[in-house]
Amino acid sequence: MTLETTFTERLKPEPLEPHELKCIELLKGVDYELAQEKLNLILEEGKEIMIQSGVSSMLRSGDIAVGLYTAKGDLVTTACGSYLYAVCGQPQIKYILHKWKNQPTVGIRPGDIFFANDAVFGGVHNADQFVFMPIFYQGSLTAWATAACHQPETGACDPGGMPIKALSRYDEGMKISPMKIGEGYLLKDDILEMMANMVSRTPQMQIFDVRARMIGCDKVRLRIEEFVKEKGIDFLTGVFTKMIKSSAEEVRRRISTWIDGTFRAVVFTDNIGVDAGLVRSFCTLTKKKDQLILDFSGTSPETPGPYNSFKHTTIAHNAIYLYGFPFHDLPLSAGIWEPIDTIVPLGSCLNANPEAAVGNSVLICSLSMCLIHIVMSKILFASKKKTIATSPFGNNGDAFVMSGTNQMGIPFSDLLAYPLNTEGGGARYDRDGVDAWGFPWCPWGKGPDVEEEEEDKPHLHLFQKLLKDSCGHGKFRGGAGITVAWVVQNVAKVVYQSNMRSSRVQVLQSFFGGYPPSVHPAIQIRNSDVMKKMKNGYPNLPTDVYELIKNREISGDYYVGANPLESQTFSEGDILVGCSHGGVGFGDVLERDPEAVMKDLRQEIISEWVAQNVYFVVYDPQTWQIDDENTRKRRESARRQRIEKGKTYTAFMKEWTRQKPSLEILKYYGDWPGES
Amino acid sequence: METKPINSIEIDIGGTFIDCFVHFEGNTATAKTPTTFDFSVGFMRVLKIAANQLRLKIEHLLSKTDIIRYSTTIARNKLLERTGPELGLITTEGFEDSVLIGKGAQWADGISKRDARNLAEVTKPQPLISRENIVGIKERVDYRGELLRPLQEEDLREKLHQLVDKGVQGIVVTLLWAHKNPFHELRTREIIEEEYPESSIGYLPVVLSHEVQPLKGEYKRSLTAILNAYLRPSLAENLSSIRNKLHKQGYKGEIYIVHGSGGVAEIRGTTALETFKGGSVAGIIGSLEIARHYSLENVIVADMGGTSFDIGIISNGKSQLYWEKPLIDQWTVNSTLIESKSIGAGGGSIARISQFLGKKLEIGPESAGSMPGPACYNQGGVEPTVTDADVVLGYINPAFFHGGQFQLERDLAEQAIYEKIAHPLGIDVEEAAINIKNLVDGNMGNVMFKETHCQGLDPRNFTLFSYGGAGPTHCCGIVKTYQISHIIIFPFSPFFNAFSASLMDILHIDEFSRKFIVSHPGEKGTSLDIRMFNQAVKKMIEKAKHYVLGQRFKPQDLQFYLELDMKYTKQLHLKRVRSPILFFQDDKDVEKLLEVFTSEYSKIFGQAGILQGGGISIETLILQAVCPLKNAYFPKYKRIRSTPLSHAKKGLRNVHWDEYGGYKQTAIYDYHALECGNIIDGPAVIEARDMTIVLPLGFTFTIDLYMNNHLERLE
Repeated sequence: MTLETTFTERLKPEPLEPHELKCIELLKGVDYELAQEKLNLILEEGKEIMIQSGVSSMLRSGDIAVGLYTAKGDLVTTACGSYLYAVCGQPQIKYILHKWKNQPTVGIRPGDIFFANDAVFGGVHNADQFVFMPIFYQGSLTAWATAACHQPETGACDPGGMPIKALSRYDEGMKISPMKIGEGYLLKDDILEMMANMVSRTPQMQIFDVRARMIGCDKVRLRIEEFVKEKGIDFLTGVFTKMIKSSAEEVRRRISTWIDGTFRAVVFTDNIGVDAGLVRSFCTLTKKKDQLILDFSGTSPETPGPYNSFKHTTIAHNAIYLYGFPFHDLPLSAGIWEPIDTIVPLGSCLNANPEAAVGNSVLICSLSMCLIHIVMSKILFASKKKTIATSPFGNNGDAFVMSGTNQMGIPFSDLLAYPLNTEGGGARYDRDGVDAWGFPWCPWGKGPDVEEEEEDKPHLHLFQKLLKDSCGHGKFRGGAGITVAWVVQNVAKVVYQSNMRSSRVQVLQSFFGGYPPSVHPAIQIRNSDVMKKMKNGYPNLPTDVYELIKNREISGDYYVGANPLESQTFSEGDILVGCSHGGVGFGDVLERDPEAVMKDLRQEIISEWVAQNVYFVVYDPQTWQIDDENTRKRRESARRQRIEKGKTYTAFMKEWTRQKPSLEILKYYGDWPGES
Repeated sequence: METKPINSIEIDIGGTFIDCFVHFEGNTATAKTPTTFDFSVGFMRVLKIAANQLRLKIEHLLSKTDIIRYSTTIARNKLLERTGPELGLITTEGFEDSVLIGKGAQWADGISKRDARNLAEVTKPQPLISRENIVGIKERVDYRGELLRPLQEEDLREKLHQLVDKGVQGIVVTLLWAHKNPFHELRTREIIEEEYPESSIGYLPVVLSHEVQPLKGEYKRSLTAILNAYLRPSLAENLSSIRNKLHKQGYKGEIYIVHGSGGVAEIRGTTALETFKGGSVAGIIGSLEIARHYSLENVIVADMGGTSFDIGIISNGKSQLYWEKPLIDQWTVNSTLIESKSIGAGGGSIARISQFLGKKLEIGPESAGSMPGPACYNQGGVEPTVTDADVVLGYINPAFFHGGQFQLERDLAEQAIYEKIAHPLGIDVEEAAINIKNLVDGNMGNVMFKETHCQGLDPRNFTLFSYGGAGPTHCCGIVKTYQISHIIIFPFSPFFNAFSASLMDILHIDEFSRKFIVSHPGEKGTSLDIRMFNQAVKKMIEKAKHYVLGQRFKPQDLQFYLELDMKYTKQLHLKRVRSPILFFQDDKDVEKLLEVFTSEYSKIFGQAGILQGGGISIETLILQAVCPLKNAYFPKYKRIRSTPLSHAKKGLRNVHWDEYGGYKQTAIYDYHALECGNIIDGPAVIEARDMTIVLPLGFTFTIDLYMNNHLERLE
């Protein structure tokens, strides 16, 4: 299979033509300002309508985007959700234009509806499904509307849309290349039935949500048609062109104010889904004048599991950072990519071959997300842009899947959205990160209530709270993650799967002396007596994961291992523990205000062990009053010990370069030690 | 608008001014005074001004007044100040952090999209109850309401004492699934009362989540309970102080508090949360009544004040916008409130040039407020505002602002616009001022357009009710693009919210989360358990009767309306529909309900949105019990003449008109000298004490038989 790189690489805007530039001159007074706002409101309307008419839980979480693109397929603006979809809409439209526009058996006509969910053609992974509608005015193609959302089921070898057992694309369920699924503004029922058949765990959800995407798209199509009728096609072209051009110019201007230089970072992960093993990703940021080059050379090879990504998907993940931090105040157009080049070696896990399994592309891309955050924060801090030079945010993608038949007898397959939406925020240069900050892929998403979850899914929450000691420590600490325990109830069996990693090696790396957050084991208890104990009023049921695992008050078969966890059947009374990760700390732990340490202690964000052994705070164990003098002495002593342990660079390298992990760990790593 | 005249007083306390509207023996009076730190002081002051206008002593006015309606922002102010009592929260063990986690991105609630995109800076709001004051107790109820784990009372007592030792002054109890089975919440209160009885000095007020709002969703239910507990003491103190002062001066009746749900209720029937947005919602409800008076089915209600532009939508004779996710400050709550969509666009909104993106002009959301205010106020403000542009363009008369009580400085307006806008853009002051006006008008029009479309409605079929201090100046600009051809402006536009309160009835809303399957997925026919459904409705009606009887009204005065939050089975979004009947007799009645749901649903989502075979369920029942009050009315006048008297024309002034491509000598009218039936063709400017109506070419102004002002676009 040949990857259509011609189109998937075309994330930069197409060169502007003289006519398009000329159209900018038509904009007088505040025409541009008003039109830009109008377009944004049109997309908001499309997004709201889509959310309200869909059924899957990721729609509720807001993991969606509705986008507007030029006739040539360049992103003009979006309402989201997730920036991933906005970026990945572009190559897929360009593919449709190239492949089908002049193809007599297909063509692109008013009222057509297209669909795609195969990442090979420019998407993210096949759980992320797109609907596209061309917008015509007086017979000419004028623009495109897209609507995209994550679908929590794809008919893959595992339930939940992100199979961790997949070895190649053939294990990942429904993958549809860009195709026409409707004409005359109507979806074709036979094609919807085909999709339902391919996603037969949740056929109705598939049909309903494709329809929701189409409704969102069509609303945008309708409004843009009205707008063009009122203002004229050249006016719209002028607005589109200015939105893309002004973003590009401002990104160039902003980059030019940063210092020139080269910035590097490396991160690792501990699993490829089907097996444990170390995987590395490397990024070198080179900034010269008004241009950035992000080079991911040195990244480990494509893996034989589903933790792979295509190049455009990796670049789209960079957008999450770029749109969210240094360019958060710019229009969300394709213009920002104009001064940025990205190099990702073909054959690496961030630029895999087309046959590769990429169902968990978003999870392998958590490596590139962390990398771009670190290298960019370095250059921004050095350029005195301290407020946006934050430590990396939690971005492990703590996804848990649940599937089966619920207590009402309705089949379901869904992501458990609470841990997903509660990773900790990164620390800032002047304050802590936000506890349970959110979901980096869709920053504004929300987790569900316990009561919503328990009404629809056959499990009970034993506890769900902030996870003590989950934050990365530092002068300013990262935000904490959460912990939750689910107990199966009211059905004989369900299936759970955990896609999270970082049980041994944390994806997130330290920043400016701040520590990365902790790693989390995979925990489950089979044949538990928790429901019986609950009924009998047993007083000492665990209230968090530490009590659960240390005190073992619940009887049953305990399993403590590493994530991820392939889909497994759980019976009534069985328990699965989930967690989300914290954010990275900023600065030296020895500089943290002891009062802030004690506040964290009182609020159960950290344990006494951490207060005493990480932050070196001395306090009265009864009253928790700080002993300032002894705290100062302990911290001075800790500094002295650090100095005593210090080595010259040469001495360090001599020792460091002799170290090597076992071959078993390095089987997916690539060359050792590789580029550095 | 009929019924015999009653004497009523309406007070609306806003952030900047206290407004008063009085109906007294066929006459009306309006008064305004700056908001005071102690609201009761301003309350009595504005009453005195109104009494003076009517040439009455305040004691006489109050002794003859039948009803006082009051909308207040005190709860909002106290929330912003964070001056509520120290509270403790008792919740289910293992879920102590739920309100702090806030479902993750709690930081995005209540902030602008622009701020929410700035991920490096976002932060969660300071909690109203600190983590140290939250304890989890050993108990558990499941989704069916069955007790899974008995409440362990000794553990509860121990944790309660811990909270008291920390100095808490009140307790909020919010347990999982308490709305399904409140047994543990009720028992918790009994224990607290046993430990700290009402007779003791250490008495602790207790708020139970299921009593405040028995709805599914522990996060919102908890916040609703917390906010009510947090704000209750200061609100009670304020209302008690006002009531005492009123009674001392001769008022014998009850004070009715304006609720954000669209009605009024006595103080004892009011929770703190219900007072939020009372003023702006009053404007929508008042508009609803006026729309009925004029037989208008579709109305957009637009209030443009100093800092914001708020809109409400009336369609098919009812308010369209229930607030789907009500937010109080940064807290999501579970309460039925009418939504008025708001953007930061008002007279005080600041114009500025974005330093990048091609020097883009932006307006708001920041406002110069009343201090220092726009540059032309000459109070030290240097930022150009919408009001400054209005002065430069000749719309606002610098010598007649607030009837001449406040002298504006045109030179300062020009200077600010020159320095901050015109010079950086390389254009002259006139063009910069036009751009400011057109941008703010266009932004408001865009929002109006989007909100009506989101309800599946076409704004072109609507009449615009325009009010607020800046509304009449900008309304024609707002409708410019959207072909709205009819605008109504009220003579008391700056007091519209206070006036509107005089049209409000007693309203009690009871909400109840309960899932009823109306039709199963993939099955034909209906499957509603009619007996259980009717039982639930009956129970709610009994509760409402009990409530209204408590307010000294007769059950037969009550009118009931049943609304239902419904959805397709797997869907998450709820659509609220009004049930055609209160009680169902048979499947045919249920089918009628399904028809209503499908019809309402398809209005927004189109036929493609109908999920055939998707199954439909009812999730929440909402019963509205309305007890009509004797309300105000518009007196009817006789048409006198179509041409204004000569003295109504104050003279000519240079005013900028897009239609003429620049300034033109324009007729200026004294609004107070106009009479019933007068007609004025644009371009013209009509100046009243507290508003300026800007009438461009192509619009005609008419005063109708009720002395309301119609602006109509000529075909």
